[in-house]
Amino acid sequence: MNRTRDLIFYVSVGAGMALATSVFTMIGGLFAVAGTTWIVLSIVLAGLSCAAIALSIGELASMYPSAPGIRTYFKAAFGSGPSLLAVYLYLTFAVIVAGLESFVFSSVVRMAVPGMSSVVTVLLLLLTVVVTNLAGFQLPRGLQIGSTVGAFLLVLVASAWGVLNSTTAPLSQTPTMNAQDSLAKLPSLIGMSIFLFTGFEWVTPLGLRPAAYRRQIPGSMLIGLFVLAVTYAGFVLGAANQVAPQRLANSIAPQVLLFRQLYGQAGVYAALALSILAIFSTFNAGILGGSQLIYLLGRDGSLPEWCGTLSLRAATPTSGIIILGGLATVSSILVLTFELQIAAALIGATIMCGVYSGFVLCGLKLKGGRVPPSQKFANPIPRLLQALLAVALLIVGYQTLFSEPAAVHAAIVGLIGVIAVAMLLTFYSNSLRQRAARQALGSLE
Amino acid sequence: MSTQTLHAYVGVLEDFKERFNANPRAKKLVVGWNRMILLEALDTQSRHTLTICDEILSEVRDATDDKSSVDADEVVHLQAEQQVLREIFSGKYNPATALTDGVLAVFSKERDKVKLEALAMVIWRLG
Repeated sequence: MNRTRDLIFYVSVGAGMALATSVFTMIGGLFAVAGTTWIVLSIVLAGLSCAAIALSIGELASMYPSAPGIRTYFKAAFGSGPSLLAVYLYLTFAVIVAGLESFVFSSVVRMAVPGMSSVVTVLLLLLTVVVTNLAGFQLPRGLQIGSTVGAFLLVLVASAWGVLNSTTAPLSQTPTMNAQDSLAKLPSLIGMSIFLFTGFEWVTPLGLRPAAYRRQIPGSMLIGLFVLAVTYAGFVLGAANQVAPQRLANSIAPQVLLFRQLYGQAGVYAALALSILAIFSTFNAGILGGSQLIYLLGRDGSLPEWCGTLSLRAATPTSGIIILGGLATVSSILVLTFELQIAAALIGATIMCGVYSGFVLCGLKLKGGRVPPSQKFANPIPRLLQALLAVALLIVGYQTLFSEPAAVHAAIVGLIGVIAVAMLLTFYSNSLRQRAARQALGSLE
Repeated sequence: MSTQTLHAYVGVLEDFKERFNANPRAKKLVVGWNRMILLEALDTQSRHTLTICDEILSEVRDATDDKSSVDADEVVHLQAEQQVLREIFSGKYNPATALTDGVLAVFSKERDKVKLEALAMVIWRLG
């Protein structure tokens, strides 16, 4: 009974992290570049790619159970420098997605409550998230599972109804694309679709028992990815059956269009409820998880000591939450002011393709590490295929950046900026650690 | 495992117990936090438990032959080589760093991990 309950919890964490409000913006982006069939195909292929990545991550997690994945795996495989670069890219991704999430959330709120200022909504949302995290409030496990199940049910029911109801917009309607164009764009479509699944790996530090790393954690990632793929594919089919693809492509929140089409004005409130449920599981956990990474960097001397401040009363990483909350606010305002939502999503997708490629390489490098048999999980995918996957992810990530002509310029400039910041921070962290090592050596002498 | 090494390890745990019970901030930190901390040394297969009940670390017990406590919800399970556990419980190795280095695994609810880290900070004045 406990095992089943634990498995449901793990699945809800991984799948819940991925089902964010901004994934629908990305689905809108997919409608802008391809027809329904190709979108569904790209979702399936992205899901399969993520399943292969999950097997690599599952193997790494069984070698380093409960570790802060990205920092530990990259450090063990490639050393501290590359590990820090990966962590900073990951954190930047979290900040970009936080900006995107709050922007999309504010757009949904405006549809439900016309006249509501987006800036006020964004600031209120971020303030609430930061304050609840600082206070140490965490969703009880039952509520976490409930909110995730609720969010999935809202999408699945609407999708099924959308598919089964009389068609108002033909499924095959693809205004500007032919099959050849779509085939050429398939790699970038897969890259964009990988964005829809990001976050599934957040379950790896949460194993409640050693044995969970043998089957439950890897299995929960695969189950979560399957549920996500079915949900997204269903949504694409349902939405395309009810709303003209051109309208979906032009919308920040295509889920609102589908819900309104099916339920009338009540659908807008249903979409708002979906956003709130998604915020519960994604945004809140993302800020807390990211702030714990900042805390760990502060503790191991990669960031100034004050970044490793811990509230003894609430048992929360105070500085990490404030830093990440502050950066998320800046990111939100930037996305809001310059309407960078698509560029932000593309940058996020490209970063995650690179990070996932890194995870696969870590798995290859560390394969065969010593693990107690009771918690050992071995990735069944042959090494050659894993190596090909790592390369393919880099290509897909690169192509994703150029997938939407209107956002290419902003996406390239943004990505260069992100990489530059991550490299500067890595350089800074290394110099901090070297200085600390020199001081320690000096005190010994 | 030599008897001497085991005695030294248990000595470190007993010393930790005394430091914990003599530290008012540590006790304040564990108000309402009744847990059994299970220490599993992967290299020596030894298992010891520390029981925190009503703000007191009441006992350090050899649980090498007792496998029953592992599945309980209120167990915080630490897994590492014995030397690593010894360094952590003698304040020489920060548990957060050990976790990042991949030499320590903690199986518990997320909040319990942070609580352990906070205890280390209070007892050893880390950071």
